[in-house]
Parts: sequence; C-alpha cells; structure tokens
Amino acid sequence: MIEWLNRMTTGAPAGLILAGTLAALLHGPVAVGDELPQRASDPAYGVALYEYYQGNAFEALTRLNVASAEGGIDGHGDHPALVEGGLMLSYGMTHEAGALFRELLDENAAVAPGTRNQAWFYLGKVFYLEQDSTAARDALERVDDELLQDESDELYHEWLYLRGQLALSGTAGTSGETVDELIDALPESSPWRAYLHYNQAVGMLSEGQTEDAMDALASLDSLLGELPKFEPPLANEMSALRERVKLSIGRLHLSRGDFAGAMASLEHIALDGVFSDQALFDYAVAASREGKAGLALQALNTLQQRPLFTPWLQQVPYARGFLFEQMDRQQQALQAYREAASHYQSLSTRLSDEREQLTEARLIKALRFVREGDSPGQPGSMDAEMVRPEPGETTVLTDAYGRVKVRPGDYSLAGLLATESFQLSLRDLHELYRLRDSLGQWQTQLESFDIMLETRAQQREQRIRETRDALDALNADQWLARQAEYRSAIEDALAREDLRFFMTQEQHELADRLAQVEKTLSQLPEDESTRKQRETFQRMNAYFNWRIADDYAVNRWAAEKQLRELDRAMEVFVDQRALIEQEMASGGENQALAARVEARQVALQRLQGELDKALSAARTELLTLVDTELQQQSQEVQGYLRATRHAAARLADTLFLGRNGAAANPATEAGGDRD
Amino acid sequence: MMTLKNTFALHIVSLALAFWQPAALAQDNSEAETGDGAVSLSVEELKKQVIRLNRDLFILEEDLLYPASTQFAVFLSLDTGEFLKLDSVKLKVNDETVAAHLYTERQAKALQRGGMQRLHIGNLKTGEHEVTVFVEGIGPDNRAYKQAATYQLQKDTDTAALEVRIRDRSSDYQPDVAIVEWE
Repeated sequence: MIEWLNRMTTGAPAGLILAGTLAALLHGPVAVGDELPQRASDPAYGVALYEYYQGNAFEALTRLNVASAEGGIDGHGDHPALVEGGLMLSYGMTHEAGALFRELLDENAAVAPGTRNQAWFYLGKVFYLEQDSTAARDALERVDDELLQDESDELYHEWLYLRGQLALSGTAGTSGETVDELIDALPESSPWRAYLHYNQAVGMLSEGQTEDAMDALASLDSLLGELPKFEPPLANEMSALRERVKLSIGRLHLSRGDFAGAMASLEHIALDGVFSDQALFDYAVAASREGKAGLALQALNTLQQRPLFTPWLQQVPYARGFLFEQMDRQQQALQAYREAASHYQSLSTRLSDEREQLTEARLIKALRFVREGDSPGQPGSMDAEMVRPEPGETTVLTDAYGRVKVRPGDYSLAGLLATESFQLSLRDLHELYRLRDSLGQWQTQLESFDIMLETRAQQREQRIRETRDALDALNADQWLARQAEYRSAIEDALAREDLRFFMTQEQHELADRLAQVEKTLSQLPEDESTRKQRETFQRMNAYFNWRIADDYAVNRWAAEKQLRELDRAMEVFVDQRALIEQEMASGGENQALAARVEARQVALQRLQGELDKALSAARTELLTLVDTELQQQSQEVQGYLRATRHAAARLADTLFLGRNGAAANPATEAGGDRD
Repeated sequence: MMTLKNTFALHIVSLALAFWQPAALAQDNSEAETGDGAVSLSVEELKKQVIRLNRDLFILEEDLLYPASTQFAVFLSLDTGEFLKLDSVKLKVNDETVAAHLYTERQAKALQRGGMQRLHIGNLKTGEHEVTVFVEGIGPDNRAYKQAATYQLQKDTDTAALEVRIRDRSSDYQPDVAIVEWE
C-alpha cells in the first residue's frame, strides 16, 4: 500500500481520486462481511473463497463458475453471487459485475432482502468506479442503511464514505445530508472517516476556502495523532496519511507566505517516510524564503545525496546552484551550475537513448514487480534479482483492483507509474499475460488428454477384439437355435398331450426298464411262471402309466418353468449381446470426451489468437505512454540544461568581470565571493 | 519560456496549486478513460471468455481423469486457527503419500477466513481405504505442534469427499484435527 502511495505521490497530482482510491483499497471491492460463516457449507464455495482470500480473482471466478455449472452452491443463499460480483469488480470486469448485480435486483428474482440491499450498494460502487456519479448516487440511495449496518458495519461505513465522496464531487443525495454530517456519522477510528475528512479539505481548497481547509487539515492531523494504533498494513497507511496531511498543511502555509509555519509542519515528516523527498524540497523552498539559506541548502544537499528518483526532483541540481547564488557564494554556485549542466546533459543523452531503444523487454526490466515475500522496501532483492518476477506471473502481487504492485527501477518511470492510465495499462498487460500462461498450460494439458484418449481408444479396440472372440467362442447362434428347438418340441408335446415327453429323468429310466422287462418277457417260454411274471408286469406298467398321467400336470409345469427361465436367460443374453454390439459399434464415452477435447482445443486456439491481438494492443499502448513520458521529460531536461548553462555563463561572466574589476581596483576585492 | 530561476522562486505557489488541483487530476483520469477504454473493454470480454473456457476445461479434466464412480477428493479447512499457525500438511491414502503442502502466510490466512483448500483429488476403487493426515505447525505457547488423524473410508461407486477439519478446541485451548466425510 505504501509503495502505491509513494508512487502516486511522487507525481504532482493528488487529491480526491487519490484519496478515494486509497480508501477503496483499504478493504477491497467486497467485504464479505460479518455474516460470513466460519466454515463453508459447500466445499465448492470454500475452494472459491480460498482463492478469493488470496487475491486470486481469476481462479476464484473460475471455481464459482465450475460450481455453478455443476449444480450451484448449497447452503449460502445468494451470497456467492455477491462474492462473484465483487470478484468481478476486483478483476476489472465492471460491466459484468454491474450486470450481475442488476440480475440480483431484478423484480422477479427471488433474492433475500439483505442480499438485494447489498446488491444496491455494490451496484452503486460499480457506478462510482465508472465515474457515473448520478447513477451511483441513485443506487446508493436505494440502500436500506439500517439493514446494511445490521449486516456489516464495514459496508455501512464504506457506504457513508461513498456518499460523502459523491457529495464532494457535487452529486449530493436527495436527503440533503452534508459532508460534515456524513463524516460525523463515521466512527473516529474508521479509516473511511479520515479519508473523507481529508478529501473534504481538498475540496475546500479547490473552492478557495483556504481557512476552512486549514482548519479541517489541522483537525484531521490532531485526530490521527490521537487514534489508537492500527494493525499493519493499515497502520502504515494511516501513518502515511498523517504525513500527507502534514505535507498539505506545510504547502498551505507556503502558499500563504507563512514560511515559518510551513517549516514547522514539514519538519515533523520523517526523513525515511513516504513523503520525505517532497517535504525536504518544500522545506528548502520555505527556508530559502524565510532567509534561512543554510537550512535550505542542508535540505537540498540531503536530496542531492539521494537518487533523484522522480522527474520533478531533477530541479534539485539547479536549485542548489540558485541557492548558492542567493547566499552570495558565487564560486560554489558556478560549480553547482556546472555539475547540474553535466548532470542534465548526461540525463538528456540517456533519455534519448531510452526512447530510441524502447521495447517491452527494456520497459519490464526497468520495473520492479513486487511478489509475495518481498520486503516492503526491497522488491526483487539481491537473491531475487536472478529470477525477477515478470508480468503474468502468479507470484506478482496486485492490489484489490488488480493493479500490479510495482516500483520503478528507473527514475524516469516513477512519475509515469503514478498515473492511472499507466497503472491500468500495466494491469491489462499483466492480466493478459496471466491469461495467456493459463491457456498455454491448458494447451499442454489438452495435448496430454489427446494422448490419453488415443491410448484409451487403442485399449478399447483391443478389448472389442477380445470380446468378439469370446462371443464367437460362445457360439451364441447355436444356443438360440437350440432354444427354439426346445420350445418347438415342448409346444408340440403340449399339443399332442404327450405324457411321456414330460416325464422326469427317473420316470424315463423306469420306462426304459419296463420296456426292457417287456422285451425280456416276450422272449420267455409260455409257462405258468412267465404268465405270473407278465401279470406282475401288467400291474407295474399300469401303475406306471397311472403315475405318468397323474404327474403330467406337475411335469408339464416343470418343463414350462424351465422354458420360461431359459427364455429369460436368453433374453438377458440377447440384450447384453446387443448392448455389447452397440457399444462396440459406437465410439462410447471415450468418443464423447474426445469430441469435447477437440471442441475445447478449437476454442482455446481462437482465444489464444484474440489474446495475442489484445496483448499487442496493450503493449503498444503502454509503450506509447512511456515514449510520451520520456519525450516530455526530455523536453523538461532540455529546459533545465539551457537554464543551467545560461546561469553558469552569466555567473562566469560576473566572476570574470569581478576579477578584472578587482585587478583594476584591488580595494574592492574584499566585496567579491565570500566563500 | 519561464526560466528555472523563476520556476524555483515560484515553486512555493506552483507546487501547492498543483497539489490542490482536482481539475488537473480529473483530466488525467479522463484521459486514462478515453485512452484505454477500447482495450479495457476487449480485455474484459476476453477475461469473461477465458474464465468460461477455464471452467469447461476444469470440468472436462475432472470427467476425464476422475470419473464420478472413482473420484476421491480431500479438502482442508481451518476453524479458526487461533491456536495453530499452520505450517504443513501431509496426506496418506493406504499408507502412500498422495499430497503434501507447505503453507504461505497468505494461504494460511485464506484458510483462517473461511476458505477451503482442495488438498487432493484422485481415484479410488470401491472398498475400504485408510486415509491419514499429518498436520504440523506452531501451537499454543509457541510450541511445535504435530498431530495426525485417521479415517476408514468405505468407498462405493459415488464420488467420495473428505474434509480435514482443523478446529480450535476451547475446552483445553488446543487445536484439534479430525477427518469428516461429506455426504
């Protein structure tokens, strides 16, 4: 945060939007709020939140989309939609976020009152970010403040802040609340209050109300001094804001000609603080005007020893010469002007070279991207130099709005880095590279899917061959023919009421034995013994026939039962064989997956083409911004160079004339350079 | 052209005014809007399309690599993590390490805030399986903390999902590790 603040303040512009942006960054686009359950009721939602809380908006949005495609998220009501909208906001998808919040606000949508209320809030925020003040005001006015406060103090405070911001920009609410009232509604410990208070002072200044602005700043300074310590990183932010307030007070004193007052305020700004360069320069100006040239020179010398890291600090070499001249130390002034001229000359040459050799690679090399684990003051530390992060890498940190955390490695970019247009272009470039990397990974993955599916297809072919062989070995048609024969025989026997056909195995054996006995008896001589035996046989045979007739119904039922079971078994067999045949004939699930892989490959290639075009456009835009900036700096440096050379020549002439005059009139020598 | 001498002399006023110029800033922002509006819109559209494709590819990957009948996933949650600074986790299935993770501060915080990490996704055949998790970190009184939990999973033909749940146990101010199954 401080780095961002630093970058933003190294350039001249500051004020409403700066403070607004900073304030917005405090909590990110969506404060999931007090109602967040401690534990996700649905793992799909939990996984999305895990990415969201790490600031991985792209991954979190993907997870929510996957969950939505797989049946939605259980147990969290409409809350995931709010989170998704917030994620879109942080991912720079304001149009999509707006559309989602509007969907939630549709009259026909069954949305809980609390969610609807928050959707109005977020929609207002979308409009605010899109700088549509009227729409933002209208949306924010639809918010039920009591309900919002019940649900989340954090959102309620932000709501007050946004309304205050709108009021400051001339779009006050219809309820007529003043900015003062909105500030008073915010607790003293709220950072939103501090920022709104500060922005109010800025607004007063822009309207020429300097006394009121001074009172407001003094009051804010006092308030910030009394607040209990915040936890980092908010503590750093609040500390930076207080220094900013002191700087503003100092500059206000300067503008009124109260140089002592300016010095008194500026000297409270830490030398290692975010605003120390600006404070030192302003202090030098104030001291100079107060007649305390020694203090002014001390401040400028301190600045001179630092890397002149921002374009506006390039005034320091000239200012030193000017100050020496004011102090009547003309030799030192001449020396300072000459050194300044040399500095500006080499700077001018370097800027020209940079413009000529400007490429994306050189630009990226001149930027220090901050990644997780970097110390606040040293992005890309010594060890990290070897593997310095580049745009598109997931380790590069971004703020809550996707802006890349980056510091200039080259002073000439410091001012440019402070501009919103450069930040947005860099954000786009970073995001596009990330998307390209993501698609590149999927490309590799899809290629491996292809191999996998091809292997599966080969294995499938092998299994099909084995199955066909197994089916052939079963000789299924022969089994079907035998089933048909069996059925036909049974039906014939039924038609003939053929008792013997339905005999059991035991009965068949008995019948065979009876037939054998009958045959034997027919071959025996006709005597009494044979006659008795034949009578016995007749009785046995009659009994057997009676048994067959008696068992006919039972036997027939058993045979029919077996036929039915056989029919069923054969039906199952036939169905399964048909299924197998169908499965073998079709491509199966594998083919469907292969079709999906192919379709995704086509989509992937199309998107890669689109991404390349967008990357090219973003790259051109970024380089144009840099080139314009370098051109402007080059012109400024040329101006400094001319002025410095002019001053040096003028002073050299003066000294020359002074020496000649002194040589001609030694009595006046003591009135020359007092160094 | 104004000389640098004048510039410096007038810097008191010019710096202060530049600082207080909301109009100048508004102009800077409006330039940014018009300058990158078209690109931003196309970038937003691209983001939307890539997210959609990413979603489809994630689903395709799961369908392809982890069919529902064999899919087995393990999630990890931290509720609320006051008694444990999570350092690392190792997951074993049937005595074989299938996942190990070292947590960054950002990841640990994301878990503390209610996020849930998908620690592992893979395939398991039907039947009984032993799932064991080893959790390491810094516990109460800044002492090294290490605990394991085991779960006997009866895998059927539906997707199986387990959650390694690390909770603060208020009864003895110690962290507690448990494995629960999502139905």
